[in-house]
Amino acid sequence: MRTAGARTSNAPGGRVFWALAAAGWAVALVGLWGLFKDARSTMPPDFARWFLGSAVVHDLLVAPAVFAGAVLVRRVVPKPWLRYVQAGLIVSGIMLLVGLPLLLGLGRNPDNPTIQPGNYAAGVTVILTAVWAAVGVLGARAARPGRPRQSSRAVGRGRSKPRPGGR
Amino acid sequence: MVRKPRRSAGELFEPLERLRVGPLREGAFRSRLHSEPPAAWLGLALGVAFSVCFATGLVSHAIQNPPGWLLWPSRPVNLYRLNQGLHVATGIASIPLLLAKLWVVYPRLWIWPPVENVAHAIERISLAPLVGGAVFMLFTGFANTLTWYPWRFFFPRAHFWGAWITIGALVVHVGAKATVTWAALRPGSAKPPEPPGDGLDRRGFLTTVAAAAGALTLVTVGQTVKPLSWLALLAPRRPEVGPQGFPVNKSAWAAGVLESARDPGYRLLVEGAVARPLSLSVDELRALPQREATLPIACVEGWSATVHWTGVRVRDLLRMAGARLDAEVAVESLQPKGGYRRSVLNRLHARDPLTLLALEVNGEPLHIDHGYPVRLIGPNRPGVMQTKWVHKLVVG
Repeated sequence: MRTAGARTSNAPGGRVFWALAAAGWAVALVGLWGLFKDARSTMPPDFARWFLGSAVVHDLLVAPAVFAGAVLVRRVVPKPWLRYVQAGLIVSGIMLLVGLPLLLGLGRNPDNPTIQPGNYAAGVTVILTAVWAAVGVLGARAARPGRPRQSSRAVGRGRSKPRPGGR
Repeated sequence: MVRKPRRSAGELFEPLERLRVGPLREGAFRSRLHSEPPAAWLGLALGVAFSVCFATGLVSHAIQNPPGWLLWPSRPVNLYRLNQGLHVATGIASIPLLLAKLWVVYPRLWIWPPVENVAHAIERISLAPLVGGAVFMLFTGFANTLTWYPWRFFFPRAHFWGAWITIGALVVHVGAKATVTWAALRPGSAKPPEPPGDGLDRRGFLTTVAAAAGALTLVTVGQTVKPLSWLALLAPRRPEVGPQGFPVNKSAWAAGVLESARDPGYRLLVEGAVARPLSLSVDELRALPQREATLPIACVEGWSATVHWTGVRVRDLLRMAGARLDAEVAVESLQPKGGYRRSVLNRLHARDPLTLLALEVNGEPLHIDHGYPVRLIGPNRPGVMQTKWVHKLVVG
């Protein structure tokens, strides 16, 4: 990422920017108009709470938690396993995020058993087992003693020679 | 820090340098993944996914709220099923893509100076409805497939207008990032080498996110795509689970029709612009020529099930009643209230031979939760418009 101090050359400008900014705001204003036209059903105050609240919850709660977790993982996980554990956590995290409402039965209706009919605890368990089995296999291969220490590169992953000092 | 000539907006923030704590500190975010290439690739993928999602969403909305010029056809039979399956699948696949993109660009929330010029200010302000909107659309859409409604607004309208706001913000964002994204993705452009490290590199990260999106799709899309239904561990509906082998959205009890549907005095009425208004009991309906059709029930929530129906052709009833061949027909339910108690068959749907008032499913009389005594079923039609517990046809 560009250091925040330098003048960032991706600050926008130019004809494309202004044309699309105008078009985009026009489209967004159509949405706003519709929201208020149908205010009886869209309930703008409640809508705004959820619409803008989503950004707040993500930016001020979810993201910091993920960053804190990432720092912890970096400290705790042995280096040869790190990328595989990171990958495993990313996939597991997504699956648990999507699976959580199902595990909690949110939206389930006792009068209608065709809503969320599955055994989601079993489903999530199967998924997580598969993910961490893959992490185990791939990580164990990478952590095999005698395998040259890999410094990562964008190209030729796994084929780089060990470098003095490991950097 | 190298001093470069600054515009006045940037200079304004210089005295506030001491506020640069925590995430505002220079170098606060150290992962090498916070860089242009992953942001560009994820942005491109999200652009495609959101475009497909928006287009299919517009189609679904337009069918249910047709503008005057739209005559939604009754064929292909599976078109709506495909449309809605695609809508939900792209929405769900977008969840990992969006979260990954937001993570990659998160440091930019805390850039310094916060505003460099007017264009930059507009770009940044426009990100609020984009980030909020994208999360809102995916969250509300997903919750709807679970029939989970933790909010108070009416989902269909809020989701529809929210989409316009989000897509508008997306267009602004594309305008701001087009040049930069092209520069990052253009084949043959000189890319800065990736710093070394032990964790995931760019390729590994993008592969992981793609794998997450693929895996999530595999465990949910079986609710639309039957051969994958054995994999659908996280699908909130199973298309083969329910009375007579397919799911129910609104039960007869919830619709308040338990008594009226079973009333022996029930009559199906055909009235309006007809020469001979009809009033038919269930037995009289059964005595009419029965037609068969194998048609999907395709829900707006993305799941669909193929079912074998038997019943009276709507076109035959219209002919019996002496209605015009190109008439539009309003189908009304016994259900006393609710936005979905009435649907309209445009003239293409009304005269399609596959559009039936079904009396039987897979050879058995219709289950009460599926619309006994009679429900509308037609090709290329959203599930909410396949009216159950039909009471009358009003010919326009």
